[in-house]
Amino acid sequence: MIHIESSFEEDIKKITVGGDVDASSSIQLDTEIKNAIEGDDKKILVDCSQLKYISSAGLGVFMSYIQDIENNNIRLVIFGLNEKVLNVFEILGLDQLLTLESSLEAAKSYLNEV
Amino acid sequence: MPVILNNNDQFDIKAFSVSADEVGGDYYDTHQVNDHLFSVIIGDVSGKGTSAAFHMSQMKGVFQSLAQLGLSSKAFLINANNAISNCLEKASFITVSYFLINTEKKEIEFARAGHCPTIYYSKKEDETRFFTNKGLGLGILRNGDFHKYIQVNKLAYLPGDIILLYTDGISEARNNDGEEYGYDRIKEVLDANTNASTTIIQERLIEDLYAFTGSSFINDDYTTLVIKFNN
Repeated sequence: MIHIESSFEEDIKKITVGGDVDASSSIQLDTEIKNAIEGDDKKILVDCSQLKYISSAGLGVFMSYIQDIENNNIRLVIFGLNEKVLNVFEILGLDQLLTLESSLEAAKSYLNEV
Repeated sequence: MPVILNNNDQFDIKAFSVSADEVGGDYYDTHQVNDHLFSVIIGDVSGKGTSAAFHMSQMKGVFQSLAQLGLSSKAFLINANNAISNCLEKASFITVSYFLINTEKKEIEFARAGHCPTIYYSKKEDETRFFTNKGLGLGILRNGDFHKYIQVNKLAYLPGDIILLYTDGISEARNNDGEEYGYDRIKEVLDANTNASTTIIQERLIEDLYAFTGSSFINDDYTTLVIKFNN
């Protein structure tokens, strides 16, 4: 089961992802991230502190927006990955292309860098 | 999947692969470039089922085309990334590990494109270790910068050394408590069977995996490939 919510904190779009992101639930994750990117949000905070598992389809969602993030000068930061999920990002090499932070504070300071 | 795996008297090779559905996204293959040069690949397409199997067969075409050229492992991955990026839909990727085995120089060269870390047993040091060189899955970067993220490893092999390859269907298989089989259990099976043949190592790994999960039904594609260098 996936739990996904989105909200705004001032100019930051916050997406909270919890539970398991598998092949079928990755569609919901894709919709939320797509809405944020197409909605012209320039600061996107993805809270994964309650994320237990992510399949290759879920990783594919994050991967598929790397180019859009770069082309549109969007700041997207993922924070709170547990050790196991972080390891999955690292083995695939996504830690080299996406901004991953361990805490909310570090993620917010990345978004608010001038 | 290939029926015959290429080798010569310098090394043995054994593979085992099961798909969750009728067709799957795991892949392994070999190619003999010349008398003493062999290429070996293991790979895993994101997702499962028919679409994964379709991309897997595209990967097989890319491998069989490029492997003939005897490219370095880095050049192979760069070309494979370019080719496969034109085939995959936006959110799909393929992880592979690619090996060149030179039995004349007794050398292995390899690079990792986002695939699970290879486990290597060195007979001389009597030690197993993970190769954790940097890498990036194929199809993730489609803009020409892929080469910046690939790191090549080279080493001289000795008789008795073992390469153990696998896909995440093994490392991420879960037991009834939701616990994953994990990399360390794979390594422990190898540690306990370093004197065994490739066939025995493969069988012990799968037996141990089934004992852990409590069943031979694993809801994912899973594959292992074992290579052992001979005296």
